[in-house]
Amino acid sequence: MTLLRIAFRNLNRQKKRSILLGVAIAFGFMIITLVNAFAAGFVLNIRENVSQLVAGHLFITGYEKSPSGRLVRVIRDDSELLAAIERAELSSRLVARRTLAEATIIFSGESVPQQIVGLEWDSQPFLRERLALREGTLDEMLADPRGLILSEDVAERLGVAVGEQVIVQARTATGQLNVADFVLRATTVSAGFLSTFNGYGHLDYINGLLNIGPQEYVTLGILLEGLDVVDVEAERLFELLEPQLNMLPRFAGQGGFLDQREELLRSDWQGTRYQMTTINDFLSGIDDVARALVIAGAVVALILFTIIMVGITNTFRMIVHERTREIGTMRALGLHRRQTRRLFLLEALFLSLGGAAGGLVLALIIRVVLQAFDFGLDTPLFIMMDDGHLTFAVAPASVLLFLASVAALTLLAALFPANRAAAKPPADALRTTV
Amino acid sequence: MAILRDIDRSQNFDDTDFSASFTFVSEKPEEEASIFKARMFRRDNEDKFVLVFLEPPIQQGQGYLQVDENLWFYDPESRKFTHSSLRENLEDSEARNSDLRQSSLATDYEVATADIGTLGRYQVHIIELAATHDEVSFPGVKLWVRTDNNLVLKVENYSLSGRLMRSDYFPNYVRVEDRLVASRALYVDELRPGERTQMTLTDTSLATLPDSVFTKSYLERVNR
Repeated sequence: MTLLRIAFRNLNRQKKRSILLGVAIAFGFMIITLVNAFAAGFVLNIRENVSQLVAGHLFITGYEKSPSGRLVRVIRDDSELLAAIERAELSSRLVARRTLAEATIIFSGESVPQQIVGLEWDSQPFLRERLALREGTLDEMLADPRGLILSEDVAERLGVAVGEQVIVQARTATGQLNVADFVLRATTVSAGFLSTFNGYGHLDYINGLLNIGPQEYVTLGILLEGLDVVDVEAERLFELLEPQLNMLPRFAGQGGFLDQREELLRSDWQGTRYQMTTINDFLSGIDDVARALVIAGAVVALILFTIIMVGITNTFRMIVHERTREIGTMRALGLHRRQTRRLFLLEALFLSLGGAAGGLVLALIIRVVLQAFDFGLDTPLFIMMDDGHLTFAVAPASVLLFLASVAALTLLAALFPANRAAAKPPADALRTTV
Repeated sequence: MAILRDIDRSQNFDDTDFSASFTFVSEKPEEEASIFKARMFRRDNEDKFVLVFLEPPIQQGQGYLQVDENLWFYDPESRKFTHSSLRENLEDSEARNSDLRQSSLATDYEVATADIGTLGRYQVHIIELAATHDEVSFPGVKLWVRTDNNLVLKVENYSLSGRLMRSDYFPNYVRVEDRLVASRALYVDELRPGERTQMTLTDTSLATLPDSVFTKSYLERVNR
């Protein structure tokens, strides 16, 4: 207890020096906390926004096999499927039919590959709210059965303006080539790399393009209450559906998806097989981006902490030198070597904890300030924001881990000077004049 | 139907193997023409097909292998085979993989209308075809076939909605033993004005090919 008090007093004796060291530690801690929180928020927001844009967290796609062995993606009768979903009592906000066309849009000689989702717009309140339109209106879109919404950058690449007619080429469910005229009724704010997934049409018209019936569709999308329940609800629904419907096994990641497709092509089966995927399966690549962000942040923090550690080591060497006579006196009064080392390490620990606490407070303040800015939905970065606001998801476990790391590094930096102080014979120390 | 069967017969090699080299020159407005070359091997009586890309260098060694209903694409970069579909265009051209394959007009289509007319200086049958099933790429096809020797001079390919998507022209044929094979073809994209691909066929052979050609290991080692 006495050692703690002395360590604390020693730090107070050289306030300016302690504060400078603490600020350096706080700065490093703040950087790593913010980068990590930003990366976590980035992943959360992209997943949530994409869930809204593609109308779902869980997706159930139907597969049939044609007599020639071709895979046909279609759900013809969903009564059993819908009944099972109702029985599952999922924490869902929306269950929506959708047909996805892997299309090529052609306008005036230019062509762009584009996914177009055919939707029943009446059952898409969340998407209607979420769509950030650059030009045109949703009312015009809803009034035109041939209406199409594209991302502004896709429209720009094609050179097409709202109100103009484009040709959309796609394969029917059974593989025939088909072409239809659409009218661009609105453009959305660019979604960056997601723009080619960001095309919308009317379910009936897209069904016509794919030559499937008006009551049929390709995928049932289920929008859950939030991302945190996706894996749990997917597991629960799958267990319920598996005994009743011909479900394909769950898989992990993009590689699993391709393997399953290979298996479907290879094997012989009849009827409709259902594949359940989640938003997490689709966006596993986003985790890589977040991981890269965290690694970049960690590298910056590592460089910062290396510099800070060198500073701490030098400062503590200076402190030991300055306090040599004091160490000699304390040793002469009965302070053991171990206690001497502990005294300096305690000072370093206080410094790191104080610095980290300061860094955390600073990070939280910056977080509140940055989160308060409303960038609006009218920006290409909207996809990584929550309703136009940046998100910094500070995870307590990560904070504790950083805290432990900073403390360990600071102790390591102070260990060498502390050992030197402990090793100094009391008589020699007392003879020293500084 | 007799004409369709005759066209199929002239383009299929049921009693012999067939190999040839192709050069495709693809033109797009305001772009430099792109060229790619490939070597093809066919054994139609066993429904086997191999296509190996020779140029451009970036795609050298890539290839397709079909054995019965299975079609694989091989990528030497990843050294992996993936199940594929022959329906895709050959690279960034207007030519399709299926253009190099067996012809099955008589089984995939039925005659909707037939007429006699002229195309240039030739008297031709003008035949409109409708697909008999829903898995052919082009549900509608219109043929111009010479009346004197049943050589196809022009083909129009239509989408399910009835829109003209691609026109093919076959101005030159070369004799390969007892049959005539189109040695030059022009594929014109009707949806993208100015986009066209010219195909030239060379090094044709009806010599028997080793069985090992129609295997995955052939694609793996062919450009090693």
